[in-house]
Amino acid sequence: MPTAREMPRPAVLGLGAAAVLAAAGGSLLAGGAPSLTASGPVSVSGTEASAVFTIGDRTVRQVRYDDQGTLHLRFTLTNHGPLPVTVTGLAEAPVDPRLFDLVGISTGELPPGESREVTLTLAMTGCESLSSRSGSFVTTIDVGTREAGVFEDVVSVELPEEIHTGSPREAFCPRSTATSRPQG
Amino acid sequence: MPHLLRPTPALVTLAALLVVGGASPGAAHEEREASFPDGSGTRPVFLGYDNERKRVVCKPSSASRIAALPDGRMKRVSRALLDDCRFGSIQTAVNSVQRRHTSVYVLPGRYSEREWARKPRSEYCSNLATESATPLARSSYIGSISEPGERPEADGLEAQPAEGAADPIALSYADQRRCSGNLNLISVFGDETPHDDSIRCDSEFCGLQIVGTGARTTDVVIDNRFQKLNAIRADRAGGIVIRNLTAQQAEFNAVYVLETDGFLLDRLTTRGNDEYGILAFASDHGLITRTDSYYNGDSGIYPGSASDLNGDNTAFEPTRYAIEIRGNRSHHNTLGYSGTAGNSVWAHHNQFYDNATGIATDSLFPGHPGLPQDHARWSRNEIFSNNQNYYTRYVDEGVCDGPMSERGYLDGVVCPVVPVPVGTGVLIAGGNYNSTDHNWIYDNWRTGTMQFWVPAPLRDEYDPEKLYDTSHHNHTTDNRMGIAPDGTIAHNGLDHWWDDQGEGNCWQDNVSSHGEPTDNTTLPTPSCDDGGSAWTPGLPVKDAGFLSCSQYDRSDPTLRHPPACDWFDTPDEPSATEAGVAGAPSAVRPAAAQDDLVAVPVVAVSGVAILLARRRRRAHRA
Repeated sequence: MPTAREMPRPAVLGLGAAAVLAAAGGSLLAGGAPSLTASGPVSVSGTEASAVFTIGDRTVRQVRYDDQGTLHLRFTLTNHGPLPVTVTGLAEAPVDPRLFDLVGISTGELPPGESREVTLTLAMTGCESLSSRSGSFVTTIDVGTREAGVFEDVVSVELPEEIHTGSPREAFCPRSTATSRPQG
Repeated sequence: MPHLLRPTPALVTLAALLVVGGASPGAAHEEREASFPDGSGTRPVFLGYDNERKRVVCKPSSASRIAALPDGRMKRVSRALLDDCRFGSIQTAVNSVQRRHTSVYVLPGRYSEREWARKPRSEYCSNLATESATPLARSSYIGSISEPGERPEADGLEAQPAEGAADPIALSYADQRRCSGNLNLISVFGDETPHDDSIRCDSEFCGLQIVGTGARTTDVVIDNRFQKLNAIRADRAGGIVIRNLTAQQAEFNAVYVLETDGFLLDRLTTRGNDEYGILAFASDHGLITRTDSYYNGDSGIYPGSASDLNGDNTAFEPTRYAIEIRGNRSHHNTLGYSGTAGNSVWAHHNQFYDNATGIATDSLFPGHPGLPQDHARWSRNEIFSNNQNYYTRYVDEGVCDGPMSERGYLDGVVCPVVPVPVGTGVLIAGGNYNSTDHNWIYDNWRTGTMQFWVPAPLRDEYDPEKLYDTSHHNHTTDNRMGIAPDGTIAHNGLDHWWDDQGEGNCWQDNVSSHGEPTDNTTLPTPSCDDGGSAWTPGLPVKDAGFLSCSQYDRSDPTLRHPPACDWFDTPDEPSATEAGVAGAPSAVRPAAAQDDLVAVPVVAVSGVAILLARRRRRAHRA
């Protein structure tokens, strides 16, 4: 089969236009944005301890806070749409989880209907500025995507487990001072 | 702790865990790791106003204040003592004590302890972060060692360190004692041998009594003015008595008792504090009585991590109580009473009212010795009208964003530091072997009592065998729900809320304004005579909301109302007409309360599904 470089220029253009149209159609079919879901099993590294429990319909993974540590969360991401989706990174979170900085997610292409393992990287930070009886959740992430190599979007993906770290009292908070933390 | 393990791997979704390296750093409220006294102490008694071993403290205004006292014994006592006044400062008088069981009599006046509050720190005390001779090990405390010169942005805290000085607030006992003015306006340190293994009081300060001589508690006012973290600190001060005075305006505690075996707090007013009116931590043989605590951002009275005398006791009856709390009033606080790891505490004949939540005990927060919580008893208390919503009134309105001294704490402003469900009478968040009995619990618009399981990892306990080690063997009996002592009906939104979790929990002989107590339980509330609840493996529990609400941070514009947290929504006042009155049973619990509370409907195990969502009269299972 000839490659694009080997094809006559009008043919390449025609195929390109067709691809764009197909992508647009596919995107419309998909509701205007890629359909991505996250699922388990989930594995975590970068913390001394973690455990999973359920309350009601919530599945929560509690991790021990480790100031300035880096948490890696691995799970499966599935593209349910008809078009290939490229994960380009993380978009800014709408709510600051305070004890986590969302650092990044492994990028790459997800063919239609396929799954692959991705790694979400979070930095554990900020205990010195948070009430020591507060906790933080990361429940969803906003993922930057490019669909069919053309359409860029931000997709909200619900994590298979809610990531929670509890009171920073659990762990040393080395930059905390008498003036840095709210009470509690 | 009792063996409460229920290993059900197929049903428990415990997936992965690691337990690595040493114990959890034990500390609470930015404090050194605390340990329990050995229990050899005894509860002290007030020695009267004629103790030969005495120091007398007065202010220039004391004479006129005494003259203005109503005729009576305290006027005579104060007049007689006035001639013996040699001190203008309480701390100076304390420091002069040479023999045990000395009484420091404080004559009517206002004491801000200016001399001590403004006393420059020594070079050593200004540089504890780097110069401490007894620094806390990294593993044994939490927070607070700062880098020299580092000055993070303040958040209303006014107990500022010396310019450019590092200012740790979790200090070793030795440093607390040596630098007593760093964090405390008035302090008593009883252990004069900080470098040995004993935390017993062994100094001339054992049995010290600080006693106001006014006719009312407000005749003697210790006004911290947010100068120091604590107004009064009694640390390893076995036998301490603090009586008949007011302590106010502390960022942390008005009265703070720590690692003390034997204490009496009697006739105190503690008010206008960012966190606690009275905090007793890791202490034993204590009595808190006839106090009045209000306008506190956490709780009026906090008997947290009281000596864990019954930690291994698998009987419902405790061997003894570590702290007794009786005859107090605690109102207009975020919490009337709070006790993370509030073990072996007996609170009775108190009034907890007009708070956001009346009583709470929990196993929610790590770093408290004695977790999970067990063996507290609340009996013959009045727990009512706990519907104050300080979250919307003051946090949302920005009142709590200003400097502490300008928030109006003495005028009734309360800035909650913790999330609680507004409208709740008694809250047991992960406790065992607690008794809630013979109380009057009424006019709490969300629920009279609330009890739920707290997963062990939330307290930094990752042992999978302990995942379900809370919310067992709690008895709620003989209470009058929705009924005041005079018989007046004032419904609770719901009488009892339970997440159906745990074994041995029971409700029995409670009388309700609705006729039969209303509740949200899947099955009829189990009776104590029948052994209480059976632990049902795999039953998805109801979401009490604490996970979502745990993100609460009053200083964060978004997390002031964490997503999916409804604890800060004021419940509707129960209608007097929608439910029955005492003696006229009503089958229906308030729908609004039901909807608010049951965030996630319960899915029962096979065979009990028909009981879902039933609104029915409960058979009284007395």
